[in-house]
Amino acid sequence: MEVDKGKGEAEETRKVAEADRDTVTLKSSDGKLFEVSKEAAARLSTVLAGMIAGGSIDDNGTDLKQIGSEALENVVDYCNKHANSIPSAALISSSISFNTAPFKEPEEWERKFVDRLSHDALFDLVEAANFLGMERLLDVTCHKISEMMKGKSPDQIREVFNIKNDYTKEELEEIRQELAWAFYDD
Amino acid sequence: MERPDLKSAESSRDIPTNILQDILLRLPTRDVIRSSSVSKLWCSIVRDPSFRKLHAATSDVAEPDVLLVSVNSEPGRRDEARVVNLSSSGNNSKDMRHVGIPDGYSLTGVCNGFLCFAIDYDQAPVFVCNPVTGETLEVPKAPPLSHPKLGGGVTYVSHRFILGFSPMTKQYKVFRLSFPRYGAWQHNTIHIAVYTLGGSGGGWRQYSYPSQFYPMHSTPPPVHIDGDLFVPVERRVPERTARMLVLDVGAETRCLYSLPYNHHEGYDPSWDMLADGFDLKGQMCLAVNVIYPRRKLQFWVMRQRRELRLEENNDDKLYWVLRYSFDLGDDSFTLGVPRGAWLDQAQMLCYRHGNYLYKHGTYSSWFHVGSLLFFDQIVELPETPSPSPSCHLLTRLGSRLANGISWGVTDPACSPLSPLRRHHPKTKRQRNNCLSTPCYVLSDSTKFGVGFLCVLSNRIAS
Repeated sequence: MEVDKGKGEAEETRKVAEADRDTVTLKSSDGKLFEVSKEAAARLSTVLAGMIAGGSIDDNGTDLKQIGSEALENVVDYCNKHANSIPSAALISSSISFNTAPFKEPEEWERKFVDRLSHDALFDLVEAANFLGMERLLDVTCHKISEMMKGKSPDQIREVFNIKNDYTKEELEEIRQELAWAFYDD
Repeated sequence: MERPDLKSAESSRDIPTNILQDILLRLPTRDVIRSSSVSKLWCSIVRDPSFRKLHAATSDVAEPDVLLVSVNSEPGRRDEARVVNLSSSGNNSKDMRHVGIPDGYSLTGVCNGFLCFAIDYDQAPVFVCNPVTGETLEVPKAPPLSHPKLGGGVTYVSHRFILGFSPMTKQYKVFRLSFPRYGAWQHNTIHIAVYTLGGSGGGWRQYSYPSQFYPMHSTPPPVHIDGDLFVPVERRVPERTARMLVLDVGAETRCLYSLPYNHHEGYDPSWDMLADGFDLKGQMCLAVNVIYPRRKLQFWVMRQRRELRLEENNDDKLYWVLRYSFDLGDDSFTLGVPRGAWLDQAQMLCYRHGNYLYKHGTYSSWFHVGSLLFFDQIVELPETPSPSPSCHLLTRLGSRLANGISWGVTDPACSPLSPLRRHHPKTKRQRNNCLSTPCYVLSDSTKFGVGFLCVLSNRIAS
């Protein structure tokens, strides 16, 4: 009498299946849905880990209003790629010893991951990583941006960051004179 | 300067300040300094003391920047300490900063990239300068000796001011070692005064201990390595003897060790020390000029302190290992005191004499004591140092420039001066008599007098 087994029991089975689902669905500010490995999301993002633990994950797509679809796609892509490269025990122990170092160097695939991004996409991703509490992704993106800045003139940096120069000409000249050695090449 | 509101700049990308700080923290010092001219917000981030502290703590030691600090003395001009970054990218070493030295002052030491200036015969404030930012800190003048007669009718004393850093306590300390001036060798007390920068006040502390070994003007300058100060000292009676005084900056304990050339035949104790100390991969190394029977340049490395037995005045025990020995043949340059040795980033042992740079690769392990080496490269340097510098000294300090940015010292008794403060008309007048206004003139016509090579260390934090 399988059919008559009872609604309650079927419900129960479905719930168990849900709890066992290994992905969560995230919804970007512009309404697009993305699936991400639950394990990786919980491991890489403190915010998502909190939501998963607190049961505030929506099956129809958890709203992330602060994150655009392009950035969210990159976040999800990063999480899924990370899930595929789950560190072995040896790597974990070596990464523990790395913790004494100030910043961890990005791994090869992480480097490639951020290298292909446009400036805008990179900056959006930094903010998404910050919002989601993704320390590792923040590390990787900040590293990339700092690499882009090295050796650049203040003008070039303003362009990349889209920053308005709020100094007067005189103020700028003053700084350059005070710290002349740092501006040797400009 | 007020911190501009992020939101007010509508056209700007709205990067949260914490992210911006995170990005800037990863930059080398030079880029950090340059970013202060990007915008007022950036400037406020970079100038924030907590940022500097973090930057110092997180910066990378893997690529130490080596700074050459030399003192240019030219008649009719004020002495100037010239700081050159030997590690900067490209082949040309670049002038980083010139610091005008006030009358009567001299460069007495370098530590983690900081320069220490003092007057060695008088009561005067000590200045510590950060060549990266141009900031100068004035340390209140040391008190008169608690025993002005040095216990035996001597009125005249000399001081040796030394700046040291303790990685354990993360504190900088200025030591003043006071000893009788020439002609009073029979005295046997050394007076020490210590001032802790950024400490909880307290000012100078004084104490003394019996010793006939003093850091004299003829002895090479002290070397700071990882919390220890290596101070060459001498006594003149009953016979002239040199020792290495090792002063622990944190604990302020001290030990005396014999020197390698007291053991070495062909080294006459009546000579001034023909030696110069530097930091060789974290070990104290002495470059010693041997004249007889054959001209050699020897590099002796002191055993690690944990291997040393703390015995004072033990001449039978050799605390040094001969690491490299170069045959200098008839080279006339060997006649002077060796000045300036360091290990560069490619592990080449560099030795600077006059306007030549001698280099030797240290990676080969075939060397054993007794075999003589030759320098692999001799590079002629573009500038002409003065032919007979009174004291031309190089010391290796290791680190990325980043660390130099950290002043991190907030001592109400000291007066740090920010290089970024507004210019005011007094600047020019101050320049004539006050160290606190560094001179930024970049010139190629300067001559080398005293030279220090220092490396900005990572642990400079505060």
